[in-house]
Amino acid sequence: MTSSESRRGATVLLAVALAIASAACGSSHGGTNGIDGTNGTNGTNGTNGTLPNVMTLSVNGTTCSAGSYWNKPCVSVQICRPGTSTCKTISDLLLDTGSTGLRVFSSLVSDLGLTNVSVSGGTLTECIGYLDGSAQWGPVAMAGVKLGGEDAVTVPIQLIDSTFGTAPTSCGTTLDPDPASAGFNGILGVANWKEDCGSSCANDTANGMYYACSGASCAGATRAVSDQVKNPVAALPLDNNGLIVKLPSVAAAGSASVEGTLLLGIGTRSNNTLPAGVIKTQLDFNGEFKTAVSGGSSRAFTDTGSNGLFFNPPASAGLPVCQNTGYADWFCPASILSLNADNSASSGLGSRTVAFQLGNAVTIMDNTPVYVSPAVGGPLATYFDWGLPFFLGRDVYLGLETSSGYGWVAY
Amino acid sequence: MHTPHWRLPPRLIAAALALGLAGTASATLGEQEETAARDATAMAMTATRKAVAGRGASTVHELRAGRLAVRQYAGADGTVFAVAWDGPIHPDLDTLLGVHARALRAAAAGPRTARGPRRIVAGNLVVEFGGHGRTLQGRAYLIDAVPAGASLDDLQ
Repeated sequence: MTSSESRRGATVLLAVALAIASAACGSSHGGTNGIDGTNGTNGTNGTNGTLPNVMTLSVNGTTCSAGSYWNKPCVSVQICRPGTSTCKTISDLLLDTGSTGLRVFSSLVSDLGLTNVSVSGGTLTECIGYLDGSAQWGPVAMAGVKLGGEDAVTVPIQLIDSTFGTAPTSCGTTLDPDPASAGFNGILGVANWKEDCGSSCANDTANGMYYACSGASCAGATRAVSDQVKNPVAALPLDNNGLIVKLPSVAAAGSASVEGTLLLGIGTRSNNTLPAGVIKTQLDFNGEFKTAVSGGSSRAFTDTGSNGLFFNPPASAGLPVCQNTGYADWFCPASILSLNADNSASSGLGSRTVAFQLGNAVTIMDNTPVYVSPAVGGPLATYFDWGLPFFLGRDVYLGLETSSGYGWVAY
Repeated sequence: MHTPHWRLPPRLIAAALALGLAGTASATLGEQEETAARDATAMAMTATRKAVAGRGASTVHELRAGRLAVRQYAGADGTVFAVAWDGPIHPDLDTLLGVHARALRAAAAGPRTARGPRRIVAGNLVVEFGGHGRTLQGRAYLIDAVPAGASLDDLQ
């Protein structure tokens, strides 16, 4: 995510500065010097009568920096020095169902004194790429991660730092340098994969993702699957089998922000039961399913980290690309259109029909102060990318991979 | 193993294999394919050259490192007109795009409202990024250099 986006770009720097200040001194557990003074009192029953598996999820609301880009879902997470009560709350983390693992800009947690992971050849360091061509680089460190009211789990996370060692040219030309440029303080990746790379990084030093850095010198390194940067949800003692994204519905014309909930675990507590009869669409070995629109079928995935519905519509749909400067990524239909798609597993099983709307992105986005809409999308030849708009007004159940399956999605 | 998506149709790959032509060359977008091995060396990838029959592209250079696969397409005149890739990361586009990399950097740095798959047009150059965790992909091509008869769909 190479550039800051939006027409409000001038405010981003200030907004991020405020968010950092807020994270430093405004956590729910207090603290005066940027580090929370206690480890909280989050036992398994929580402290306020609610269950511990609940996280606040907002789209451009309370958990996001002011001036965030369109349709940006954010959470706050408490990051701790493992096994201690030295913790810090970091907000403005992009909730991303399209990637795996917690990554936070190193500069935001430097006062925690996290310990980088040492491997043969130096410090374990990672390159992680994204669908927009951007990438992040930085060392892997062990951290205590507290999700909602859950107890901390100790997992490897990435400390984003484009200046660490020397990033290989293969990591790309657009490394996220800082929160202001990236548009977030970090990413909480909760895709179906428990770890971010899988077996290829365990077997081959030329895997392109894991490196060992000694001083300025970095060389490809293997990393066992169980030791890779991990989805913290998968490390929870009880609520580790998936999550539920619950966001309210929003009219096509949009809202300024919405507040919702991220529930951890599926069927593990009284608040996360999968309704009877709901169809699970199983994911394939790429973590994908398929989507058909007017007969044409393509590979598909759900991705809260994408801020629109990106796909290849049939010509008959009447979805021209916007001609306005700066809006070439979006559709600009003459009016708000209602469409249907059919989602099924790559095997063809688990079929669901999904109704969605698409409007004129320029009209919707220029309607300040609207920053959340289910009806924005754009052209993509190769996939149906069910971005954040898909999640508005649906409870989306995301099952993580198991020993017998690659994960599933239901709604 | 990830299934490559942007690639030549199987029958063209089959034709290439049938011709039995293979070497260890690769090339940079917009340059002659003989500019070659340079890219593979720069990117620490192994390269294989194959001839293909018909449909505009006459050779494809396949570069591999781990799960990252890069395919460079050259026309009958030897000019590389397109590059496609898939893998856990995007490849080193500074190397693959050569003199066109600067145009990509400049265009990519501009303001944007979309966060998702990205299509960047910079004059004659088109670069597309897509995919998701563990499975990224993309392609780049020079509009003016695509040979007559070649279909961009063949690069998917």
